[in-house]
Amino acid sequence: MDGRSGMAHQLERLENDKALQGTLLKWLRPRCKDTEYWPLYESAVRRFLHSEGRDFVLFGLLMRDTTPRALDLEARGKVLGAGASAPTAYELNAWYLPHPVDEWSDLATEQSP
Amino acid sequence: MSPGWIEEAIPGDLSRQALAETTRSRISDALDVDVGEIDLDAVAFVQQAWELALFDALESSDPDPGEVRRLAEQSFRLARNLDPPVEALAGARFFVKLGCLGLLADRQADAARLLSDHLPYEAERGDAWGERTEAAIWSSWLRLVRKNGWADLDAIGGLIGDLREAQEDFEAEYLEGDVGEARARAWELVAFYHLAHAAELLAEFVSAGSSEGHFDVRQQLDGQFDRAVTACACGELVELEVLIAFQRRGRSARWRCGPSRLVPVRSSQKRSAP
Repeated sequence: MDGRSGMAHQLERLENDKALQGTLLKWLRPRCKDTEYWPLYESAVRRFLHSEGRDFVLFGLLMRDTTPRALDLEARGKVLGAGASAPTAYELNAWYLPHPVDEWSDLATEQSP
Repeated sequence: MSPGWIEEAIPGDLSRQALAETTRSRISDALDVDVGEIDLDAVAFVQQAWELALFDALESSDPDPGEVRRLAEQSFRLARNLDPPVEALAGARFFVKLGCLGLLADRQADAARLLSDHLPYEAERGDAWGERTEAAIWSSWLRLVRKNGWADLDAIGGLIGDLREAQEDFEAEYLEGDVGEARARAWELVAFYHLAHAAELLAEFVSAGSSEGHFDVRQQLDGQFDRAVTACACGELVELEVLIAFQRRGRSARWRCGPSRLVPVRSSQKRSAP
C-alpha cells in the first residue's frame, strides 16, 4: 500500500505528474485506434483537456491474500477524499483472493479446464 | 475524427497563459531579472497537450510533414522552459525527449545548444547493471542529437563497447537480484540493447555515410526500434515505449537534417575538423 511502489504513491503520482498523464494517453492511443474503444478514448481526451487536466477518475486496486477488512482502505480513502476536488475522483477497490500471493502468477497463467 | 481534434480541445486561455509564462521565464533568464513566480503547472499541462497532438499526428497513416513540424514547434517551445526531473536517469530521458521534439520541429541547432549545456549522466561502476545500461543509452542518444564535433560520435562507440564488455560480468546478477522485478528488468534490457545498436548504426552512418555496409540506414534503424517497442510491450514498460516512439520519429528528422557540424565522410577520406 505504501512505499515508492505502493498504491498510495502510485495514485499520488498519477494525480500530479502531468508528464505521466500525457504518457498514458499516448500509450493508450494505438491500443484504442481502430477499435470499438476509439470514441471513448476521443471523448475522454476531450474532457480531460477541456477541464485543464482535472476530469478523470483514479482507480486504485489493492490485492491481498488476507481476510477482508475495511481498515485496509479506510484510512487511505479518507486522506485521498479530503484532498480531492471535483471533477477529479478516486475509486479504491480491494480484492481478497483465497490463494496465497506466491501462487497468483501460476493461477493467472493457468489454462482453463 | 478531424485531424486537429486534440488541438481544438486545448483551452485557448490556458494555452495563451502558458506561452506568456514561457516568455516571462525566458526574459527572466536572459536579463537576469525577477519576473515573479512562473506557473510551471500551466506550462507543463499545455506542453503535454501539444505533445499528445503531435503524437496523434505522427501515428496517423500519412503524417503531414508541415503539420508535424508545427505541432512539434509548439511542444518544443514549452518543453524547453520546463525544469528537468531531479533524478538523473529521469532527467536523461527528459533531455532525450526534448532533443527529439527539437528535431521534429526542425530546430536542431536550438536542440543541440540546449543539450550542449547538459552533461549526459555517466553511471558509476558500482551502479546496478540496468542503471549503467540505461545511462549509456541516453548518453549516446543525447550525443547523437547535439553532435558536438567528432568527440560526441566517437564517444558513442566507446559507451556501447564498454557495455558489451561488461555485460557478461554483471547482467546475470542483475536479473537474479529481484525475483519480482526479473521479468520487467529482462525486457527492459532487451529494449535498451536494441536502442544501443540503433545508436551505433546512426553514429556510424553520420560518421561514414553508411552503416554495416548499407547506405540506407532507415530500414536497419526501423528493425531495431520495432524490436525495442515489442520488448516494451512484453515488459509493460509504458514510459519507455512512448519515449522510443518519439526517438523513432526523431531519427527520420535527424537523418534528413544531416549532421549539425559534420558531413558524412567516406572511410577512405581524411576527416576534416568539425
